[in-house]
Amino acid sequence: MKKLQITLTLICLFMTIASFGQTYWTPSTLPMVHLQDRTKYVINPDEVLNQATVDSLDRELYLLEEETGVQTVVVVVRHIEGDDPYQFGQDIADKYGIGHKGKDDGLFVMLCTDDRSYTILTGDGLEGALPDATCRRIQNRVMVPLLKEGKWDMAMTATIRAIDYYIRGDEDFKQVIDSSDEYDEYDPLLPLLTMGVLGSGMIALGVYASKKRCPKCKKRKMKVVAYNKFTDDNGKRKIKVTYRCTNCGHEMTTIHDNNEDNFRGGSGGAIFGGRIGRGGFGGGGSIGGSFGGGHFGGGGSTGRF
Amino acid sequence: MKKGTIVLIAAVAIVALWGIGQYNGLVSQDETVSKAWSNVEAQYQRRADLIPNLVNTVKGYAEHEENTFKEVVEARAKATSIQIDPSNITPEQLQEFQKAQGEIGSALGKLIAVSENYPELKANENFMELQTQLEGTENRIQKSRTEYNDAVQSYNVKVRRFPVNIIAGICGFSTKANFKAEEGADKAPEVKF
Repeated sequence: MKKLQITLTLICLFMTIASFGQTYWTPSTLPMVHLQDRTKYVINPDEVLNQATVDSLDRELYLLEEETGVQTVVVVVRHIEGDDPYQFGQDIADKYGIGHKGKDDGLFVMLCTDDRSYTILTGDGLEGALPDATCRRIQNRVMVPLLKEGKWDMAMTATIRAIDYYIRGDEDFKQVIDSSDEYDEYDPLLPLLTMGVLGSGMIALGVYASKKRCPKCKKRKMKVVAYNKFTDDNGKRKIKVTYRCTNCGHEMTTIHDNNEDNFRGGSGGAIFGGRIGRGGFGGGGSIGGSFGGGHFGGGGSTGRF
Repeated sequence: MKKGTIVLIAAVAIVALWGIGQYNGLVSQDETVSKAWSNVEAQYQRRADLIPNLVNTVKGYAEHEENTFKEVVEARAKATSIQIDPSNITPEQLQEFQKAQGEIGSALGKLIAVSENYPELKANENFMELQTQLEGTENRIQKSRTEYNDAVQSYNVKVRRFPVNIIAGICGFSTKANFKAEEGADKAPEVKF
């Protein structure tokens, strides 16, 4: 009798564990992390991505929103209910209104690892920066090769980098970043194609993306030289980042809110070092974000690998 | 002035104010429907604009599919010739529009099916991107149709409800037609082996 009990308990335990990874998410059960904390954009409830990747993507997407206004939701799960990624994304976008009303600059990126599907959906305002064909190209050249190897972290990092590049390269969003007319002739797809070793391409990409443009000589050569945390007169925790241009020596500083200990200046390539867990995580009362009621008209690209 | 007259004037004024408010509400809903309709047309137009490019790309690889090309081009010509006045959309007009667009849809379906027979075409990146654009456009059409239907529904509810229907009747607001499911979409496809 006791044996049976143990067996039953074990079966129950196994089933719990098995079902743990088998959540079929719906638009209403998916936890919208951005609403709890405005510096978070990546929804990773099945823990497919490791924490370092999530933090790095969050940081990148936070800067993207700060600098261009583009509001992103990234979802990485195993399964979704119904296995219709396009409709799922559209439902989320309709439900929460990702992006800003009028600008419609919302972006939705999803990967379902066990359904083996991926999708990029663009808000109406982003269709110029990211036409469907561009989304497809990013998927074909950057995302799918990595997905086929099961490298989820790398795939998502590279995809978001490429998207980031296209958005910042677009006229409409460029004005927000700076007033310069030209954009560096740099194609993020090139290193991936030309360099035999994918990893080194990614790191080069990461370092590149972390460099800001110099306001003086307009070269993307700004390097972080100092990184200070301080408390301002109102008692708010801030971060001061000092950049120096390696081309002309011009120095500039930027000040960010230090909400979630989320800014680690320096190279984006560090995420491949596998840093997991940072001190002070979740310690400093986070501020919930909001979505602005952007409209998605059905643009984007969806596929399977 | 008699007390009764004042009460009467006040009552008329209140009714008039209410009527103006309702009338303005109807006007703005009518505009919402028109806007939604122009979005629907824009999305269908977008699909029509993709066709020449798509046909030319497929032609480069599959010369012997003359009939399929002809069908697509003819359906496109027919559909783009239909004009609908957004201020007065009747069910008949909408049905005609939908039928013509449906023909484009099935002709394009055939074109894509044909292209499956040409591996080189399938692997062509330009073709893949066109296919993605086509897919995205179909999604946009679907979405714009849903939004049009939603706009029409809320407009129709307003027009038909008492007592607003009195104002609507006086000022000539009538109900508008909405999209119905494609003909034959309710029947499950027959599969034979």
